[in-house]
Amino acid sequence: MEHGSLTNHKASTFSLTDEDHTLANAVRFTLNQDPRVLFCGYSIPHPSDARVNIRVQTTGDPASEVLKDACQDLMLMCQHVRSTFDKAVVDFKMSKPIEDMNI
Amino acid sequence: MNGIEGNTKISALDMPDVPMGLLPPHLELRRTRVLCAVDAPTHTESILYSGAYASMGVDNSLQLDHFCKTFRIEVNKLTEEDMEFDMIGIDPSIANAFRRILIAELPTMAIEKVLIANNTSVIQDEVLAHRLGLIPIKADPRLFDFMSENDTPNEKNTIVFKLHVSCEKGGPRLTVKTDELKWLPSGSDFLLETKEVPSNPTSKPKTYTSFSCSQDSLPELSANPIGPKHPDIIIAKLGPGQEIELEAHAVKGMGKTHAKWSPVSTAWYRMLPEVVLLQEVKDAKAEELVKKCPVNVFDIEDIAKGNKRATVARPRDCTLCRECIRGDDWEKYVALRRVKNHFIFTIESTGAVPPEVLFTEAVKILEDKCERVITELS
Repeated sequence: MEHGSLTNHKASTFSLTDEDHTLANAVRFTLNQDPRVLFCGYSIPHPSDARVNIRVQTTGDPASEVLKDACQDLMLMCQHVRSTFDKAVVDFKMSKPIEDMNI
Repeated sequence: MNGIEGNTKISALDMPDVPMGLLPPHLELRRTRVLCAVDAPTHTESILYSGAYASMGVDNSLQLDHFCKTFRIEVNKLTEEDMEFDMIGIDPSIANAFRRILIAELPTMAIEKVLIANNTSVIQDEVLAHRLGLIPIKADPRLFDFMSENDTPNEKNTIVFKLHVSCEKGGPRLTVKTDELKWLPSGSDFLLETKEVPSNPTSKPKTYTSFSCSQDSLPELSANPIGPKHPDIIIAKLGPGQEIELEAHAVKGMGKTHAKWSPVSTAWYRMLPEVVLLQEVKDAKAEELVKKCPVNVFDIEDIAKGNKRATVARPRDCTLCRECIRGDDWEKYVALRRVKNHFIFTIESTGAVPPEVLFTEAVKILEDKCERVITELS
């Protein structure tokens, strides 16, 4: 849900329900690293409500586009983490029986 | 980083030239290391702003290909119950997201509803039900669906266990352990009370669950029968003449709702410690340093002419107790640091799902969250 101005698309606040620090901090990290972003932060209005407000202010691009790109980047990072992890586990499992045999 | 660095102050104009695109060593130290002093750690935040080093020509923005090239995972230990691995090249916010998802948002099966027919033991009903809920159950949660309030319990969303023990009068006291919990693959045995006379007297009486087929006819479940993970957890103790008869229904849930549904007993990470000797530590001081450290990070190295020198042998074991920098002047000799993007992750599973599967599922859940945000935005 986007709370922004109709005339100025460069800055708006996105209110996500059913989210907490888990996703918000990770998205804030990827957003901050984007060179188009002037300001980015998140807040949790009340700990009992599962709601997160993410504020994005950019240098010219619409804020929702920048947020979408940041989420895409985060997804690509996760996929890379997953593939690297699977490979590392397979390598470890294959190297272990060799060690057992050597001993 | 070298083992020994100079600590004299040099004017900024006299520092050696650094090629464009690289940061001078003191700034690189600030960017990549947390310095742990005697009182508190400094430089703990990761420098996120993409233009932070723009004046030096260094681009601090997130470049995905740089991430993909430098990211590494090294598995140190992998058993059925726990694993320890290193994640190198990732930011703490994402490592923390994985940790939070592992603890709270991975689904598992745990006992939720307990139908008590008879409980004459000294353990109260609610205490018994609470203890049953905390027992880890060896069932793959991916084979089951979530059950909402309007659903009827069926073989796709419920696991039924039965516990019926009694202690004979005149016999010794009995300890009820988890191996007394028997899995009922065909559903509940307790009959629902109905006021009306059943229209068809030969039809099967209605029980608390409506299983259309027996759970052990499913191929995944017939190979690994469902049961409690450990057979020796004490549930209750019975004196002579006491009896417990109950049925327990296990459903799928997440750690967010109640800790019994958390698939890990715990999951944590720590940053890789780096112990650096700023000056040479020789002879008597070296012996003192080696003795100070409770986890034996330092070692003595013999150099020529009978002199001894201290070296850092096992920095990974450092627990940051700061014993080596306590006392006067030791801060000049030893610098304790943490590498900001190197995390030593440890996952201890309760046993229902192996730890490497847990981590893969946690990463998938973070991806699903991102996708949900993207679809909401477009």
